[in-house]
Amino acid sequence: MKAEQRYQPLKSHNIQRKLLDDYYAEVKQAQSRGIKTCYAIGHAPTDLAVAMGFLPVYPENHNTMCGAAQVGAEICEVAEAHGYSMDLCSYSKCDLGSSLAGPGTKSPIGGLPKPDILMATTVCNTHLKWFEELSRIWHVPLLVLDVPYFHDGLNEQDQAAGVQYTVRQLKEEWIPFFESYCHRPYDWDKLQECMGYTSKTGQLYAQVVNSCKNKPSPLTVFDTFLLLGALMNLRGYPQAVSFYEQLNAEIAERVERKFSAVGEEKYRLYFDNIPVWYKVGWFSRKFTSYGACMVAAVYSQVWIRCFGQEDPARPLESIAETQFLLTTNQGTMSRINLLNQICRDFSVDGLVMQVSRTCKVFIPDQIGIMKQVQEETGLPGVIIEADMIDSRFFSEKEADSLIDGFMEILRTRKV
Amino acid sequence: MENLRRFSEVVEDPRRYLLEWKGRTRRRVIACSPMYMPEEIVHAAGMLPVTLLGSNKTVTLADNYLHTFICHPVRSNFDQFLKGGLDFADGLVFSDICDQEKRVASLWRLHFSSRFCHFVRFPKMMHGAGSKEHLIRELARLRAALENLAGSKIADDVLRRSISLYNRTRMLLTQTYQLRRDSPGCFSGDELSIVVSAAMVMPKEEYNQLLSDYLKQKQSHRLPVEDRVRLVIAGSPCEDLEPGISQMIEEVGGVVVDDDIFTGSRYFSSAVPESGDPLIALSDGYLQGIACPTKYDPKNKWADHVLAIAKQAKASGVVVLLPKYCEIYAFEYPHLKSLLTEGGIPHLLLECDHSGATAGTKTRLQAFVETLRGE
Repeated sequence: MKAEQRYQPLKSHNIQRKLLDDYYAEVKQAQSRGIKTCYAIGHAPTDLAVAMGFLPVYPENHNTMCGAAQVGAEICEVAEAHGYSMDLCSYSKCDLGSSLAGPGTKSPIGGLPKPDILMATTVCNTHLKWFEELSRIWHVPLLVLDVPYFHDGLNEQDQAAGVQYTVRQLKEEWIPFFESYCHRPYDWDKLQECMGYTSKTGQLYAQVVNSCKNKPSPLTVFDTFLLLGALMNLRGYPQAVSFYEQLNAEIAERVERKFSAVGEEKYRLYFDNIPVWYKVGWFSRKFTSYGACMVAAVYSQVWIRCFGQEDPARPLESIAETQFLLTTNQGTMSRINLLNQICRDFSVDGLVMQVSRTCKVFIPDQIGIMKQVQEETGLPGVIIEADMIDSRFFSEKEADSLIDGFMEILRTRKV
Repeated sequence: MENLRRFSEVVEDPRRYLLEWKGRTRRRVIACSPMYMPEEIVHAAGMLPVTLLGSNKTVTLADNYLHTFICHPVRSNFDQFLKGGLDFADGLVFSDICDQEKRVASLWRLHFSSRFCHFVRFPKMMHGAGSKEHLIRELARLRAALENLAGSKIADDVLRRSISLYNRTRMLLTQTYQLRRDSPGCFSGDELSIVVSAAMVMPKEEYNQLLSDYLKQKQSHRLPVEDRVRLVIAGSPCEDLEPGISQMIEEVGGVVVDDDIFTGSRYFSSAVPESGDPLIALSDGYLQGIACPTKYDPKNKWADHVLAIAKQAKASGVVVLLPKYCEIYAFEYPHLKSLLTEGGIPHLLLECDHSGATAGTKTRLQAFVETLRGE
């Protein structure tokens, strides 16, 4: 194997950037072109809105752009000045801050325009509270989908009853809402078409994520984080499908020539919680410098366990089911099982437990999960406190020395 | 007062009281997560439902499992459990409240595997399509699980009697609160918080008797209204009141005339219908209940509720007790703030983490009360 020492970005990153630039241009022009927008949380079933002609807008993705542009913390401070606590989810703070700042926002794209409708689910409590605030700020309707938690130990019948409750809301509240808002019957054919694209997109992204099982891994999870953009923003459209087909072809070519994303691949690691959007490059470079390839992450798994499973023949049932499949809606035991399986499937040598400090979905049982998995796998782990958007919760110096110490442990174990 | 002393003893050391009760009655105790907990079903199964109230003790063992920026009630209850402080509990019932509670409930289950553990998937949306049916089904699931534990069925009549018993507690506490609004000088410091907390531990049969006597004595010894600044306290949604806060309010010349706190009016504000199918009745009672931001109910918002009770109690100001790291309440604060301001009711925001009220807290309370007095 010929070691290639320098990080080489995939060509597809640029293709995605162009796609997303076009998409955000469309978002900006939506109002003037008479297109209705639907603000949605990242994993919301937006196919339901796309089928009725809405353009979905994902504030979470906009937040990641603010994070990457190093202005996340500054925008969060705007929300804090309006009385929102510093400890709130930084995604929500950044979005509320950007909305409240109006034209004065520091957002790299000048913020998002006013939405026409809002869409949230209860999988993450924060999403609901955040969107309730948006509804209050913008005075626009909010669609809420109540998705009961998939507690460990629930039998199949009780699981099914939870799904049926969610289906009922879609049938009796969501569909009538779209019909009344748009003054026309619901377009079931279009929904099936959108779901077909979304399902295919999810499957193709799963292929990207799973390509890291190769030894050496042709890309790192930091690539997969960045390459999620098309799935999040363009699912439900054919462009997402062709993008991921192209990307997978590029990855296949890397696998073919045994290309390693980090040069000589010495260690294969797992990354926990949400990406640290303002430090993706830093984390990537830091681990690469040790020949450590971050091959797996729970964050990528969240998306491929949800999208890709849709069955257009049973639209509402299958949309409800996908919400239940989200890792964030599942009990601790299933998270432990998932992480154990990830460690096996991706041949993981160590656990990097990054703490997304302001995320109340990922952090409460994080240490409990880590302990249990370490007991079963014997893998070493390191806890690094950070946050997805708010850089005030991250100390580069501290993370740097923690990683150095952790890599030393890994080195000794290999010897 | 004899009865108040009894309530205090129980609240100060619930474990001692419960172990003694178990020894005496040979019956089961079920520890319950705070809020939205249909205790009536546990009672009808012949068991004693006891609310997890958190503790003032320093969290130590839970640090091995939970980050320090998880909210205090979740950390404190788990810590008590790890330390063996919940050895009186034969089982646990959780009702879904928020992400922190739900996720840590999973951890409890892992460590509690030998004992009964049940999760009630209480809907988040209170009045959506199918919310009520979903809750009824969840209540039936709890009933079946408890029947299985008890080894006998829960008859509808028995459940109706439990509902009626619990409604009596609610009625007595409502009367006590009415008395406080009329004659706030009758109650000192955190007295009523102790009275309500005791209801979360003691069997209602014993409690109602004690409370009824306590209320009669209070009613016959009304104290003259002093020149104090009338305040409402709101917040503190999932655990015992921040230690020392009530006394401090009193020391600086304020008096609490009403509240919307967990060990307060939130515990007893939703009565359950006593006729018809008991599970339908329970679902009606609990879905109409407390205005809590942990649920989605645009017609029953916490901020509106706090404003309403402040007006009803003719309060001069509101002390908002926001729990540190409770995201749900923090999200609601900006709205509450603007609503109170528009309603002409000044408020003071205090962030609480159960470390106890400090000298700084006292200075802020003092300044707040003095401003309200117009000094």
